[in-house]
Amino acid sequence: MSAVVGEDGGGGARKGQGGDVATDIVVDVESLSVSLPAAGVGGAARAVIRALDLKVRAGEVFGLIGASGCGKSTLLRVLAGVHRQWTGSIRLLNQGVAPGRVFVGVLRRAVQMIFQDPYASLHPLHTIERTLIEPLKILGESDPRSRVSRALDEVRLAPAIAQRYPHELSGGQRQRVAIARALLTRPALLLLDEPTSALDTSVQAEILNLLNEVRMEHSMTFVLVSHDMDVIGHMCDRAAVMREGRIERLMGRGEMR
Amino acid sequence: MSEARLLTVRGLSVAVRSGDGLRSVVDSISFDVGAERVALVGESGSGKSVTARALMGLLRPPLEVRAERLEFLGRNLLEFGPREWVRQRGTGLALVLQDPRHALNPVLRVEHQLDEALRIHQRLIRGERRRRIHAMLAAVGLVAAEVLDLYPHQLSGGMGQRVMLAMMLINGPRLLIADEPTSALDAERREQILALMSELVDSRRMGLLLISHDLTQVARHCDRVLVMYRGRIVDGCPAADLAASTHPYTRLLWSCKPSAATYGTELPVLDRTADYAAGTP
Repeated sequence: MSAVVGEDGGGGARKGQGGDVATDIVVDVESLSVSLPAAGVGGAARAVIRALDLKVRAGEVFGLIGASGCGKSTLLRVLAGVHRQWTGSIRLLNQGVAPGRVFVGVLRRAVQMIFQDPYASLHPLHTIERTLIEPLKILGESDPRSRVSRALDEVRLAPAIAQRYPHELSGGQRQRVAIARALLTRPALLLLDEPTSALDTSVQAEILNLLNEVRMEHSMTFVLVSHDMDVIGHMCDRAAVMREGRIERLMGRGEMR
Repeated sequence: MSEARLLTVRGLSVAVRSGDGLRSVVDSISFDVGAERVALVGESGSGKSVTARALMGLLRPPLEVRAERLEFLGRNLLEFGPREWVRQRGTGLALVLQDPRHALNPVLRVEHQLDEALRIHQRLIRGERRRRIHAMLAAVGLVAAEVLDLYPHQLSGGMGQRVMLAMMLINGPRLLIADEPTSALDAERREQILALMSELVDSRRMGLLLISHDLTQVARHCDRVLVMYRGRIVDGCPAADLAASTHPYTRLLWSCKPSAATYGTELPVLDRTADYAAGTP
């Protein structure tokens, strides 16, 4: 594995001050390939990502855009450690990741993901408080309750929300809970899979504003998947257009319109 | 702009009966649709989908529909019985729903679904039905030989929406109501389906009521826009004049869309405590 520090740097990206992140490259992917089994019994495996290289710099908002089935969501799930069957080499936050293994050490809290449908990503039978406390308990954090109320405050949710269930919240409120949950472990890298495509336009505006705000506040790096060029254009410093499992071209600010 | 008025809606209200009270969902709205493309735009909970279902006669208790006038081609929809509704849906009014994978019958092949739609409304011999199915699929940009034998789960989102459109148009309805027809599709397919729909409606001299939450997108494909907010129609204007609308809610919907031009800026947001219905928040 090789992490080339500072390669192709100086592209005008906003620099992060990220605490324990030593190098400039937060996501370093080389010749990544992923195959998924075809639908049905005995189908041949289908290549979803083909020998893909990707470097994301610290503090940048990097966009992945492409039509349905281009592999952008699969790439994000690999980076999140959700999908673990892949070949190639991946370094996240300067730590090597091995295929087939769950994340260990700092990556378990430093890499977090936000999904498209916040309803599906929150446990339906747990109150918001229980959902938010769980990661803190797993990580052995002290005073989880006050952390939860601060987290809700940070995403502009009233304290009373803690005692509610996901079905009692609106789509925008649920996405705020998902953002609060991700922030609880103080991630350095936040992976966002279509975070606003299930939301109304005016709610989308609120969530995008919130994401930009917490990113600045916590000096995070974002990898944002979207099929909406307008969302990518609003949020991203650089973006990659994906097609059939490959990066077709990279876009800087000049190419976004 | 509408030589022949297709739909007349006056004072349409929908309320939910819960316990001993009535909660208003749609509050006395009025509009007309002719042989033109009208967008009904609003956010979740504004009552736009309920309006579509009320026009199709699909609402059941605890939802209650009232109206001063609800007329389609001069006939009073409020007096329709079940048989008249069955005749009307498909040949007069047709409804395209959001997600084709949920709206199509999952256990029937595409050919069967289209054939069934024809058999319910028309007496045609088999060969003629086949001919019309092939022609209709071609009109929505599909190759009949490739899709006729497929089940809905084997269709991509864009293909599924084209099949649904074919099914809805095959009996030649006068007014097509489309409820968020593209929100299950990616950006590229959205434009294709909206362009296709608007072209078909134009060439068949039909009316289109396009329901959406995305003001800027539907504006490109419609002649007129009605803006719904909390069960009321608060603004209405030709699509070309939207950018100049003075209504605060319409202005916000228009300006809160992100784009490359808004990079690095904070997007304007709704004041959730304000009531925009009055026109001055």
